[in-house]
Amino acid sequence: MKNSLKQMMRTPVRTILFLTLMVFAAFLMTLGAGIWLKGNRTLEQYEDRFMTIGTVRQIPDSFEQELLWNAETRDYDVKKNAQYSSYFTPEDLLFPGAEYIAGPEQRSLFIAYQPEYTTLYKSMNTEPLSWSALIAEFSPVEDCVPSESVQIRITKVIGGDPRLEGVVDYFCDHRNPTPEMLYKDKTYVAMLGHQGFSIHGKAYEEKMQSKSEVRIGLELIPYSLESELLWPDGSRPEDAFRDGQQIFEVTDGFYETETGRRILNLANSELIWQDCQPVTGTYQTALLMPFYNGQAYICEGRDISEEEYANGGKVCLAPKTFMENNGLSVGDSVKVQLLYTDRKANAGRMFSLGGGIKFYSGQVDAGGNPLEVFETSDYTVVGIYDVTFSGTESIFDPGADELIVPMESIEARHGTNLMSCGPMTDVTSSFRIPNGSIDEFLRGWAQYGTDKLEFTFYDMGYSRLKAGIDNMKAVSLILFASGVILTVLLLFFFSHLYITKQAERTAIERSLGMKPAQCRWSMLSGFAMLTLIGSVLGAAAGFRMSVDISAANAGETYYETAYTAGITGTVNEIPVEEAADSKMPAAYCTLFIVAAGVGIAWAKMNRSLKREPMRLLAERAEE
Amino acid sequence: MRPGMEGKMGADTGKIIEAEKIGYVYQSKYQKTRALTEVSCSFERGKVYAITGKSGSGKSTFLSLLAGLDVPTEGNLYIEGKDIREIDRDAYRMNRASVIYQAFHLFPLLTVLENVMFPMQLQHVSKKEMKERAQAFLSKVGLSDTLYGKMPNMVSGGEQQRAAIARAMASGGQILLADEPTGNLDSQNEAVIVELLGKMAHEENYTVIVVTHNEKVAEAADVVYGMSDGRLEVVRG
Repeated sequence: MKNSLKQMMRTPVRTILFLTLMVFAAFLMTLGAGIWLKGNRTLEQYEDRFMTIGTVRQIPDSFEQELLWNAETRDYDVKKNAQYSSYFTPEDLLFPGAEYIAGPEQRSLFIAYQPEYTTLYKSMNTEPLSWSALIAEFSPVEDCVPSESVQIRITKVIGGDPRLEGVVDYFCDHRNPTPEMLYKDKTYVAMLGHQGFSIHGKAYEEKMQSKSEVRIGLELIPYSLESELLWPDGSRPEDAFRDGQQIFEVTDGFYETETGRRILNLANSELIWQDCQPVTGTYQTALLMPFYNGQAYICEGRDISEEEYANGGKVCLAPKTFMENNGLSVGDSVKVQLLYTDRKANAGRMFSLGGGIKFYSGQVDAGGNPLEVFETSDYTVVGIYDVTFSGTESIFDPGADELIVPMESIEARHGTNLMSCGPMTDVTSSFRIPNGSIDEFLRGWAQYGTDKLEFTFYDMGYSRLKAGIDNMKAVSLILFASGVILTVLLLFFFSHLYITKQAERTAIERSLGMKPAQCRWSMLSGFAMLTLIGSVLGAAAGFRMSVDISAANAGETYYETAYTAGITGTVNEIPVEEAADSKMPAAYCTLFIVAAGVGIAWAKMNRSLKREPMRLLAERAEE
Repeated sequence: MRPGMEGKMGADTGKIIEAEKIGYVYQSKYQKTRALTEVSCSFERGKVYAITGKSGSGKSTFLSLLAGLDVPTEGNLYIEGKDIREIDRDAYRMNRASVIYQAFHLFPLLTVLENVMFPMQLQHVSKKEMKERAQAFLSKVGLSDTLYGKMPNMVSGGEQQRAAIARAMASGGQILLADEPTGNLDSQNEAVIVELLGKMAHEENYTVIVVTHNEKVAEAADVVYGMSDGRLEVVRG
């Protein structure tokens, strides 16, 4: 080998060129292989850390115009109501080839009546619900027709804040184009509320002419007393109060009448909302957008298991504030009394994290009777979740005090005391599919599905990450292939120079008594050594570069880690042993290059050895 | 005697090489070519033999057999009394027989000194001894020490051939096979090489077998064989 290397070193330009090019070829190969493997490993490592969720929204078939009288403009407002010939169900999403990891589901929101617990609202408000939920008796200050804002005095609060008794406020039968006369010596009762209409008409002008600084407030308007209760299939039962009278004169025995009893029942039902808690039934925690996007995360205990979801285990996830307000901890039970079902809203829409509550106005059946709790169960809290609330409301916000329970755990989950029903929407309907299968899903849906459903996908940046990695892998393949081709070409070319063209040297060695094996070693050793050195140096450089590029690429690629952090409450880091960069590509590339080098050189050497030395040397002499 | 060189006949008779009706047929994939036919002769120590003949007459093939690079397809060739088929021919070339060529065939990337040291490396001679002996051989062939460190292409043809002879001597063998050793040399260097070969045979008891076209070389030989169409005959004995 010493002689072999010595002779190679005496052609330094050729040797350095060979070495340099071998370094470059090995560099390309290792870089390509390294990046390719790294890309694969990255995808494998992140496969479990990413989650692809789709939400579903049914597109209306048409919009129906509803004309609503506006007393202020003295004209009709046009309200567009979405019309659906029928509602699609999650079963309609089951098409051939669809691969769901969870769902699809259209979640139901349940309103639980929880007087034994302190809700967020109660913890924040020592006073009862006031203006937004008022059923009261009143008299106009003057005889009037409430076709514009008129002053009334609240004489008796039946449902709502009793401190409002005696207060004079503005009132208008705003949506009624033909309001009836109100007399100051008569008493009326109605469900009253603010709906965003400012004071208008004569009262407004008087206020504007007043020299004192006054605030132009909102007027009270009457609400319908009709029942909001739906049949379990979502259809609306007959109700005499639909589009009917909203202001009633209170006469002797009025509260003994059907209307009076309905008003009393409605008044009672409004008082319960401060004791209500939303309960969301689902088939997987991650299908809930607040958990998926990291706004909600389990800070203590654990998630509801797949078995518990499948078997309808009486377990729940409860918010931290609720647990603290009630002195509860993981393992405690919460008695859940389900009162209403809602297939349209999500908890965040009804129970704002800021403390506000939106509630139904017609909480009686079509006969005016109060609705009763339809299911009572004890749920064990297995996990406590915390919520980040930026103050800016989002449609996906979790609800205040929202309990998460397995849908299967609610026996009467199919529409008992159904107060609202609607099509699948982004906030109620979702499913989980394998990462990277969005395009496949959409192709399948285009073939089998309908264009009446619209999907929105969330994958935490997986598609972008994968696209980036796929691009990187494509480049890496080019690099690798270039490296392989260059390696092979170099090995053939330089083995030609170092071995085939050195046939004379082999012949001399043979004629000096060297055995074929010695000649082979003499030729191959130096060539193999240079190949080895070149490939090791190139592979080391390629490895280093592939690590740097992968690191830089990982830094530049955006992806969400919120879900992982949310569910586990831990930082989304790859374990050290997983993150360690594999040196295998460098080792295999080196091995490949050396093996190829030796193989090619061996074959050429065999050809040289087959030539008869004396004849060869004689031929050279004649040349 | 070195390994593989045991034998009686040569030692008893003085004939170091004896050919007995040897023939050689080149067999390629498509045809057979006869190169030698019933060649019988013998070579003794201390003599210069010249084999003359036209190109393609079989001279080089015969020399190749004598060097042990191949074996005859017919007849027997004895080296110091032992059939060449039965001896370690690589060891024979390494230790007993050396070949020099018209084109010198020094290793182009080794210095003159390293070229001469090369055969001794194969014999695992120590580096120091190797160097001393190489220098002695180079001195013996008349090359000045200023040339020792030079590459072969930096010295003249005559000097290269003398270095080749020194390398042949360094192997320690007593048989020197020369294939047109003066073919690439001018007349002055030719004379030097012819004289050197003569001295090796007559003063150091080498068996020198020279294949040549050159009449002057042939004239200087003790025995001249002529080869024609693969047949050998004594021209001058």
